[in-house]
Amino acid sequence: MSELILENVKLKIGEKELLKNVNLTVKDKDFYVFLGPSGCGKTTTLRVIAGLMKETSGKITIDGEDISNLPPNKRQMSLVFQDYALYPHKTVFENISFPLRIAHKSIQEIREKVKEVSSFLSIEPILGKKPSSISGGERQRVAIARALIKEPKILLMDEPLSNLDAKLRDVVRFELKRIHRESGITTIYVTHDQLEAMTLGTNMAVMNSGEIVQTGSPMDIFENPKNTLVASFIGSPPMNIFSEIKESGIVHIENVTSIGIRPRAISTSKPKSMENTVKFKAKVNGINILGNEALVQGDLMGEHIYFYIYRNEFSSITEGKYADLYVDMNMIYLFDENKELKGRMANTETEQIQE
Amino acid sequence: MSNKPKNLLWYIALGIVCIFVLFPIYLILIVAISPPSDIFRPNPALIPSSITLSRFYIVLYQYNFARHLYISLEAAFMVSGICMGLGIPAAYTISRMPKKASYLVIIFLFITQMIPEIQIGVPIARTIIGLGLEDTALGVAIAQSSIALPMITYILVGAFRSVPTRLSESARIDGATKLEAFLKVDLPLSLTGIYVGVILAWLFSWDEFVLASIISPLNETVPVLIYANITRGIGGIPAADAFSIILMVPVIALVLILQKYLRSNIMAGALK
Repeated sequence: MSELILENVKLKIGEKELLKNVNLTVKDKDFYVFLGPSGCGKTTTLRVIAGLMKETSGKITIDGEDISNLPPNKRQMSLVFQDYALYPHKTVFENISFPLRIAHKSIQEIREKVKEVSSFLSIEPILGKKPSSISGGERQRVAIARALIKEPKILLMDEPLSNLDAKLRDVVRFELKRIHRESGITTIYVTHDQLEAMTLGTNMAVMNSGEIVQTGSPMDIFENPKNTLVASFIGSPPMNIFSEIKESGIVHIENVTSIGIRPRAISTSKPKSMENTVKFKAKVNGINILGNEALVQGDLMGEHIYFYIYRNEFSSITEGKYADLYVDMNMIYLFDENKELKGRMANTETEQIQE
Repeated sequence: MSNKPKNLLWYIALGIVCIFVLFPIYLILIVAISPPSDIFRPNPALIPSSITLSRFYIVLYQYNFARHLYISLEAAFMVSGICMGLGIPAAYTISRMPKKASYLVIIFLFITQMIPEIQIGVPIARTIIGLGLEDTALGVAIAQSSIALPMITYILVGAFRSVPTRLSESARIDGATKLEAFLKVDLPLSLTGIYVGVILAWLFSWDEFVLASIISPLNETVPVLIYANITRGIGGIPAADAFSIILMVPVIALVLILQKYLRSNIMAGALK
């Protein structure tokens, strides 16, 4: 069991409020993702959890034990840094075994553990090499091995994939999922990439300017984003948000200032029944053909709208012309003047809909 | 590291630099071994007509040379030791300070460097004599360290700054105390800079004349002995040159011993 709780954690440096009021609970065996734009405080939160930065106020507990005042070496956590931070003067073997050596474990035990963890990550052949003579992907594995070997209560990862090339990133993402599944270790993972957050996380916290905006499972947040910020951060391409619907006069709903539609919810084929369906006319700016489908950019209500069309619809759409778009009312998100989610269109009194 | 010379020009440039550096040393060498008829005339010979080792004999046997050499070596190693013992902790602290605060401390460090040595030498000498350390290697070493330490500390600050704080943070999370993180990560990774500091501190003391001559006038270090020899000694200038040749030997030995540690790519592979 290792359950981590942050209570009212605040961090102020000079006049700058880096963390405003962070409350969160990471359950045992969670893969908990902090997601947010750069500078939102997600890495800072991680460093506070690790003990590398001291919070101004608040409380951090593991399994009910207050660790707020423990130095980093007593917190029984591991951290995989974004740039790996391998010890360049030590071999891979010495790097991986460092946490055990520091803990004065026996040579016998060190050998066994290194063997175990290096076969788990398939890095046995490079154990004798220095970090300077192995590849970026291998350095990543070594950093993870060093983090796993001391069997930490919590494994912290700070954007571990951002220094890998796109192809390798896909491989390592699946690898991380396997590592978490097989080791069952409670993990906190910081990223700005919504794809990593969606695919890896069992739970996540979306952060912005030093605050947690929303917590929940990735699908939960995808389905019910709390506000337009979360809505436009999750999903790729992001949700289409129209913030000037009043001025455009196309849709009018009481207390609703913005609507959002996910690109995948838009269809160009007329459904069998028009019940619960809204029809828009959008000018097509450009079409990016991706193979079996194409990403289309159009103009609607003075803003860009992105949607996908399938191969059989390619001929029905022309750049520069208008296209009919059909959206299920249940897939239209309504936001109030504070940009908070109000609900879906199907569940709301709709006063007037114009084409 | 594989900067292969590509053409003749490169060799010519290298040759000019070598001549520039080595010619004075060559002159010292031939003056030390040439007969007087070759030297004391207009247009002295560049190639000696015969070789005499009598000056080396004078140096080694007339002056109780071993004793002076011992004092010089003692002082030089003590200066290295003092500069490392005080400089390493000071420099590490400065290197991990906020930038602005560290600038202030560094400016403060150089105050002794801003005053001419001969001027600050008197109060320093007074203090050393007050401690009863006149005419001892330790007295010389303490005085020389007061001048060398700021410079050595500054070099060490640069060495420690080149080690990313990320690495000691990583060591802390891996379970190391602050001291262990310093000893096992920061220190080994700063060795190049530390060796440079050792050599420079050592050389500073080995060459230093002003403070040594004030504090230890009876137990002279070798540079002071050379000076005394030129002004009033036996053998005159040729013997002084023989001194200089002998003075060079330990320096060359020290640099040769430490040169394999003077690598510049020690940080490769740490990050990314």
